[in-house]
Amino acid sequence: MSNIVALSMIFLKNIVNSIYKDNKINQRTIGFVLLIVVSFLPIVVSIVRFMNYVYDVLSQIDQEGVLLSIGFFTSGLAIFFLGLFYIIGTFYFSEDIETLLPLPLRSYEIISSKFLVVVIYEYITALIILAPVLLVYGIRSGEGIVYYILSIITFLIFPIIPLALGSIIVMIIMRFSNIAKNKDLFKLFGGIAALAVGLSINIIIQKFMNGVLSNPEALQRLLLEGNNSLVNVYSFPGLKYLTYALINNSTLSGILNYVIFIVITLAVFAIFLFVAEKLYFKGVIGISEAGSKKRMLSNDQLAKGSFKRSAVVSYTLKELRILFRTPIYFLNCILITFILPILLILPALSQQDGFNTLSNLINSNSLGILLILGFSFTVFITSMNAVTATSISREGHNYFVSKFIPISYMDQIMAKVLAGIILGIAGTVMMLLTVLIVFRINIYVALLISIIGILGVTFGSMLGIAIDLYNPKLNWDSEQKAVKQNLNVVLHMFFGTIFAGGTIYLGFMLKLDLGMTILALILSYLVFNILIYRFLATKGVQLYSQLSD
Amino acid sequence: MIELRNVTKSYNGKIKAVDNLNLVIPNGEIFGFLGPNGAGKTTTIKMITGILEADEGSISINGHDIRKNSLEAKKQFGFVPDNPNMFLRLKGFEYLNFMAAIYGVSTEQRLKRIELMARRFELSNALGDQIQSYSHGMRQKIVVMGALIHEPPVWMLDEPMTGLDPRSSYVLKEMMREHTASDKTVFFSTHVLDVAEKICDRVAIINKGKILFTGKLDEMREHFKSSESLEKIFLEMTENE
Repeated sequence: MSNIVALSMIFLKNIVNSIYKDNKINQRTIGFVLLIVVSFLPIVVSIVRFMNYVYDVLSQIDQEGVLLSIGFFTSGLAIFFLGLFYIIGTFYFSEDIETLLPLPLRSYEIISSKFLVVVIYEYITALIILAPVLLVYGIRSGEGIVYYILSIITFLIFPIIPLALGSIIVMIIMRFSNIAKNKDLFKLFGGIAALAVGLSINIIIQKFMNGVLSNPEALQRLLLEGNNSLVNVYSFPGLKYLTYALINNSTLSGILNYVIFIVITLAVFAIFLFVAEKLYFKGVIGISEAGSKKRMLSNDQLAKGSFKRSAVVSYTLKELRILFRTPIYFLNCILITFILPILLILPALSQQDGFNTLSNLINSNSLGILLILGFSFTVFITSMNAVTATSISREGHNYFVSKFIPISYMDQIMAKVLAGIILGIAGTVMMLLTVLIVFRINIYVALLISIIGILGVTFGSMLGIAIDLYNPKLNWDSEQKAVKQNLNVVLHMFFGTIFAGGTIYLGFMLKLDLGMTILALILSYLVFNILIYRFLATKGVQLYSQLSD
Repeated sequence: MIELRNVTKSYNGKIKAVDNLNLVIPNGEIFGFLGPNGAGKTTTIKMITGILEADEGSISINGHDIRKNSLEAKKQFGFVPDNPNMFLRLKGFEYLNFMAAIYGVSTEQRLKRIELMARRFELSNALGDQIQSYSHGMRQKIVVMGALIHEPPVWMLDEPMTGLDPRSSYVLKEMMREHTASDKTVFFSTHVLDVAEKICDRVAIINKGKILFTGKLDEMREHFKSSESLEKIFLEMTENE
């Protein structure tokens, strides 16, 4: 037990220390955190408003408890899905593994402390969804002190079940993907497979729920029963008991149900530890080994690789190679570019209604609107893939290389932007192919999007590096921290979404025809691009020259 | 030629890591930079290479000021940092080609130099593998190759012998001598006194940011009127500071 405590302390200290710089609290980091909190506030406020509304509707049919079960269910799924990324990164791709393995520690000791770190990270997710649900329900139904005590405990232990389930899936898959020789490649496939399994479970649950909810007779029967009978529809291990316990917190059976929830949580955690003890070491030992062929390169191969390119192009090529070959970068920066279009359309496709709505939105509006939607997507995708928002951070302790090589800082910045542009264009093409096939959109508009979209992609890419230059995260010991635990990614997503959303909003407001839309988009984004380019060439270069860890 | 004039650097505005440093390293010289851990060796090297900016003073390499004319100055040297764990996901020859492109080396020259150095360092059959799969010594060798691919007039090496096997470190020493024989400069830091004793034309000893001695090793012995080993002199010099 003391080992677990010691390890957890070290892991947590690492997180806490990242906000310090030269023994002072890094003001920029604090500023960034505040900025993110402020930017999430509207979301939280609208979640609270929505829940208030849902509560009103549900209380009329005596089903207000459903608010809790929906809230728990959604938080559970969100924690499960977002947790998968953290689990893969923290358990398997983290570089401290090499330091930990030689120490006389049992698997479960390492894994429980790592698990604790993931749980703490997931409190952020819980803060956005779970906390408002608990509060809204508590205040609206005028619950007493017992409810709030139970709520606090719930908040603290809730992430355990979804994360333990996610960890079990990841550990099973990684156990078997570690047999392969090419570790990087299989780590990657392991990661993708775990995500795929997670995603499928998500979809199956949603389908199943749709099944229950769209069966009118069953639904009617449940509705008529009143008395929160609907809470049983949403299920996840332990969730039914938790909801029941909180609704009936003043009764003995309520407390009993809470105890059952805790027992289930402990049981799932115990199963997780058992699986960890059996599988974790087998999956993680040797994970950082790299295969080597030890073969002489032929003159041909050497000559091919030694083709003379400009310094900027070589630099971009280096960036892309590292992005593609580092599993954690591939998952977060490359893969997302290619699956995001599908992820966005997939939920709509699983339901006929959704498909029709989306198809209507895309095809029945004017071509101008279609162009606006497509163009905004180019800004959006370059802000989602974390390529440029982490391009300085990814250098880590090796940032010094960029200082001694004889390429100007602006050329280096633009080489990094270029890598973002290339991947942004790839994402745009992916999206256009998807909508061309699924919704059969106007091919000329698709071509227009791909051409004018370059302005959007360029803007999105420069925006990301501008953010990263302000507060790059250079002090990391595992690649995962450079891209996953990096506030710049969130900020880039936020600002990118604002620009994309603003463009769409103006598009719907002004309702310009196709010609005017083309003109407006080109002019406005040309100006944005020039402004941000000038910013990079002056302030950006200055920030780059001041990089230090 | 490397010139440092009144160079000072402090961290947090308090502790002076380097204090009013003056050094001139002429062409044709292997110059050893010696000092205990934390003496200011790496800070000095970082300032010469443009990684850190000096608070005061000026640094020039072959007449190019590292601050005012940084790109020209940076083209003058090849730099081997003290930690060779860089670009681990690139293959050996991809890394070398990256460095060659950065320094504008022609295809023909690249091929010739890669082949020659790979043979000397016995790295020929590892060039197609990712650097990640290399041992520490192999990583050190590929970084040395990357730093020398543009045949820079000035070599800046931070602890270059660390992790090299005897053969490779012999080769590197041999290359340093060849380099200075053609009237060029080698600046390297080390805390291995044997190495310094064997190949340096001149040394500087630095401790707590200040230069304690600059000159030939014979002069140092004379200066301290001692026939004792370099190790002993070094220990005495750095102990009472």
